[in-house]
Order: sequence, then C-alpha cells, then structure tokens
Amino acid sequence: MLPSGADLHSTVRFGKELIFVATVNCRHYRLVGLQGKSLRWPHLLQRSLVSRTCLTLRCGNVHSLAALASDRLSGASTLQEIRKSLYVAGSGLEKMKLIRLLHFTDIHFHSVSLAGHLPTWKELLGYANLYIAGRRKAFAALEAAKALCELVQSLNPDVVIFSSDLTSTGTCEEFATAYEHLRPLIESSNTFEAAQGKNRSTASGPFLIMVAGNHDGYTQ
Amino acid sequence: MLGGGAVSPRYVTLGTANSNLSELNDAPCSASLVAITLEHCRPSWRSSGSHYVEGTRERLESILSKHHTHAVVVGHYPVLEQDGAALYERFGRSLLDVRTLSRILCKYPPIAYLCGHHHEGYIVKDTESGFLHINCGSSGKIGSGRALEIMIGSHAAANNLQVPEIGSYPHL
Repeated sequence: MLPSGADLHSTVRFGKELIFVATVNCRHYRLVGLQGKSLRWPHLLQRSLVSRTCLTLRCGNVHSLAALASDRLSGASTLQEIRKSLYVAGSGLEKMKLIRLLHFTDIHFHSVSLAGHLPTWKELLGYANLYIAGRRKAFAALEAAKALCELVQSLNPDVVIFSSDLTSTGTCEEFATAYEHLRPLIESSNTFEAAQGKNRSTASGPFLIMVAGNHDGYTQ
Repeated sequence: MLGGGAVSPRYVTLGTANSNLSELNDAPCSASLVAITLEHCRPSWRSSGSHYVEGTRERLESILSKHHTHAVVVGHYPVLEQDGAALYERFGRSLLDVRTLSRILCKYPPIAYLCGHHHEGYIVKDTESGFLHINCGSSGKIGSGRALEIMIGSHAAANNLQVPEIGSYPHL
C-alpha cells in the first residue's frame, strides 16, 4: 500500500515517441462523518491523501521536461495551479489535457422488502446480515449520496466512476431508493443526456460510468 | 468542462461489447480516453465468477493491447493484494479468474484499474509492470465514507470518451 504522499504513476504512450504522463493527482474527499452525518462543504475539501505527480518519459530530450513538470506539479494543490504549472511554452506539455475523474464505490443503499416476492436464501442471508447482525448501521448511504451530489456539482469532474455495490441486496426497492437520491447526479450526467437523445456536445454534466458488483446481483 | 482541445465528440456507448469493439479498434490511438467496464456481478457462489462469458478475457486483452496507454479499467473486485501481490482465488470471495485478470492488466497496464469491494480502500502499484490499482474505499461507510478525485494528465481527451462494456451477465 502506498503511503500518503507517495507517487502514483503509470505511463501513457503518445504517438511513437512520447511516453507520457499518468495519474496527476489523487485525493480523498470525506463523504460521511463519524456520526453518519454528511460533512458539509467546504469540509469536503480536507484532503486525506494527496500524491505527488510522477511523470515518466523515456525520450532523452523529454526527460528533463518530465523532471520539470514533476517538480512544478509537486506543490500544486488545485486544478488551476496544476494547469498553470503545466504551461511551459513550446514544451508540448501545454497541449496535454487534464482529465478529472471522481471515483466512488460501495455505497450500499439498503431497504427491507419482503412483500411482492419470495426472497431467495441469499436475500434472506443479506437481510439477516443487515438487520439482525446490524451491518446496516455501518453505512449512511443517504448522507453519502447527498454529499456526493454536492461534491460533483462543486468539482465539476469530467468523468464520474462508480465501481459497484450500489445496493445491499439488489432489490428493486433499493435501486429505486438509490436512483432517487442520486437523481441530481444521474440526470445531469452527460451519459444520461446522450441516452435521452440529446446532443452530447452541449451536455454540461460529467460522464457517469456505473458497473454492477456482487451486491447488485444478490440472487444466488 | 476540462479538456482544452477542440476535439469533437464522437459517441459514447454503454452497449454490449461487440457493438462497438470494431469502432474502437478503428479509432485513432490516443484520440480519446477509453474507460473499459467489467461487470463483476458474480451471481453464483458455485461459479465464483463464471459470469465471465466466453470471450470476455480475450476482448479485454484485445482492447488493452491497442488502447491500454490511454484507458482506465473499471471493475468491482480488486485484483491485487494490499502489498501488491496478485490476489489468489478465494472460494466465493473473489473472482474465479482473478489471476488471469491481473496477468492481463499487468501485461497491458492501463492508466489505472479502479475497483471497490474492500471497504477500507488501498492504492497499490505493481512495481514490475507499473500497473496502478486504485480502490477508493466505501463511499457510504460511516466514519470513512469517501470519494477519490483522480486527475489524469494525458493527450487523450475526456470529451471523446469511449466506453466499451466487455463483461456482461446475460442471465440478469
């Protein structure tokens, strides 16, 4: 595990000669407080992890540029500072685009639903885990969703990525609850507008990418 | 919106893999950021991940071989341990083919592999291949719920994002 402040990097090949860049910056935003209450902006700005940039370039004439960029970026804390730092006339770095991703995962909306269908043994196991063992008390999905929507609005990322486990037992009710609380994010997203047939170039929201995990198909 | 370049958007597709794979293969390299999504629903405890339908791994390897330098891969299950070692298969607790997946990702390391499942979250990098593995940790967990902001400097453009979905689970 990388300690806070460690370098994060991977390389990107550009054309045939440049091997370029990487994760530029990486920081955590707290969404839920210790009491299960969402933290209000600007407390979300508190960084718990910030990593320095590491640029790995393999071409001789570009190597010094990498060191320069790395040096300039190491003290930058905001996107504006990073963009400003990256501008080196004639270096090629000014052509580089900065892409801001916001990654969240395992939010685990939960609601019990025994009416309408016979629960599978797996769902019963999930309910027992949530409501008898008390695992539901470990999650504050509603607060997290609210804080997340505010965070997206404030940061205006290019891409929002959710890497699964939106729900706890994968029921329709849980998905409906999740949709209701993430509606501002979902319906303003570029992806949603594209799906609605709107012109993507005029859409203002981020791309939203969501995939399913083991709790989203909690049937077997 | 960031990006800066005057790159006109082409399309974004969240359909099945085969529907846009050929378009993706024809796309000029580094014209756009590619976000590859893997469905890790794993609905059967018996299979421990047999939802990996035939050809999925081949499609992943094929796409990554051409686009890994400007791609991020999104899944649910971690593929590396917290110390950077490849995960071994734990019956019912990880993907059946986690070793194969980590081998592919180390062979063609994307910009980053984003995942969840382990609520504590950790970020590791395979020192040999440079494969960057990011688990941001649960966003809904009381006391530690969080989101991770990742800024990528690249010649690829986010406003030209392509999203091939190469894992699917047709039984749902």
